[in-house]
Amino acid sequence: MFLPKEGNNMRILRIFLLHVQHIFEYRSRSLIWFFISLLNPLMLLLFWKGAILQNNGAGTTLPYITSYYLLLVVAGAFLTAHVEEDVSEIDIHEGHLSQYLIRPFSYFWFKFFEEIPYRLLQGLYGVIVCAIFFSFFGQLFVFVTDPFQLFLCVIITLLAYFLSFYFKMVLGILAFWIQDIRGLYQVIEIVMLIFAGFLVPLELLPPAVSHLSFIMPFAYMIYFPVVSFQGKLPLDTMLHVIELQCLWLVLFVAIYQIMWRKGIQKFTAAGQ
Amino acid sequence: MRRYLRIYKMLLHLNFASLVAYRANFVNSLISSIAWAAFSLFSVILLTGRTPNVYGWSRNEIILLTGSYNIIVGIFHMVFSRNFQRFSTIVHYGRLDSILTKPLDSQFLLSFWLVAYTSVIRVCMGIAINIYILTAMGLQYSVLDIMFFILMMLLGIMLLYSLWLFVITLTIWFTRLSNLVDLLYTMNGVTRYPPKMVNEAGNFFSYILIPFTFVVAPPTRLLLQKALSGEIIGLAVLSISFFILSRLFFRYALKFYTSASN
Repeated sequence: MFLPKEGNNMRILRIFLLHVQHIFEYRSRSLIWFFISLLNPLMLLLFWKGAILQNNGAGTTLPYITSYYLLLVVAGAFLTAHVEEDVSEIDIHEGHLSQYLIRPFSYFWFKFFEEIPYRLLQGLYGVIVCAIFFSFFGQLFVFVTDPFQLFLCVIITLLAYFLSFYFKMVLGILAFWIQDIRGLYQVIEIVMLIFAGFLVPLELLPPAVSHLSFIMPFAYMIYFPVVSFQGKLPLDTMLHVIELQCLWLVLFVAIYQIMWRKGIQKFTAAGQ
Repeated sequence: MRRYLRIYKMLLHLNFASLVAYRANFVNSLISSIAWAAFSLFSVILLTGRTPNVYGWSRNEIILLTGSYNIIVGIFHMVFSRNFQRFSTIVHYGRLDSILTKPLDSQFLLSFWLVAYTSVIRVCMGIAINIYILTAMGLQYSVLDIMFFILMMLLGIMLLYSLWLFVITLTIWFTRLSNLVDLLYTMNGVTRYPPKMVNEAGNFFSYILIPFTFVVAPPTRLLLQKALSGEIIGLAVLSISFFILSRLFFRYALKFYTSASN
């Protein structure tokens, strides 16, 4: 990966701290965003509760489903970067990109460290919800216990974040070529809802759909971090997941680099 | 009243003109309407794949609920949603003065300014789903039944409108919370589940969601010829009382509006 150079470390810290201040200024807004990400998984959880109780298990168990959707809340809040609309609308279409281009700093890493405080705060809300839930219904919770597995979970989660961030940046800079891109974003959001595991745990989908979801990159952004934290994945599967995540990541980094180089030549901004 | 109808006709014309003028925007809205309607159908098919019966609703009945959801929410998005989005932005930027000073009802101006024609496609998809399922179930209807269904649907839309107005009015005090609209979009999704699911959750937060469960389920139960009089009366009472309350609340809130001196 293209890590920032040594001397930039202080600047990274500054960008980070500036945006930490920003999110605390807007914490009530962040809380609403968190409620939004909480509502759908909770509805689905209630739906499954009824389905399991009235249909003899429906091929799964309540503890599995409960911990799946709760961890999904944390994963959704922590791992879904919402950077694409800023990049496409504000930076590329409105021309604010030129501000970044004249700074001695890579645009990508600027965006990266801008986003992290938001993800940390959202993730924190998620952890709090899980903790409250755990204190009430500990017996309904399945969680990884082995320390080495936990270590692998952390690796999978980090890779998932990089994967999701690179993917969203690629979507963002598509705006160099496509003028009005919101329709495409909506379609991708829907594809992600199904194939990243937001709707139903992927292994409970009909076999064909489930198979398709493991070929696509989205499962490696959300679903695998969730199930690995549940402690349901055997060690060799976890290592295999990490392998595939690395493959996807290399692919996305390459696509981003190529698109960025081509796109930046097309970019024009007036009167900034 | 006639004056307002004339103005709304004019607004319909203007919105149509801007629809035709901005083609890329039109294509994008069309794509997203179709995509969300398709998603609501796929998601319910995938969710009910292993479950013939949930909270007293069979698989077909839940798909019918999704069809009705697309009709009701489609109409709601066509007429109202974007106006509420505009409402919160207007308050956020302190531009409400220009609306309050106009010689028209400000609630009317805030609620009906924009029309999202592309949502029609979503309504059509909802109707298609319903016709398919009802034919498969072999149910028969008279004209009167259909009229009654439409009436119930209108009451559902009125209830949804009032709930949105209630929540969005809060932005007059909390101007930063313009993302309450996004919360409401998500809360709309609650209406496509069986009401019993929310009622039985027995949690403080789920009580807030109970009014939403009255929007789509009672009209759908009517289609299934299973509606209880309690549901129908409940919807009528809720929708009329919420409509009046939300209007009063909106007017009360306007007293606290502090403008950014336009």
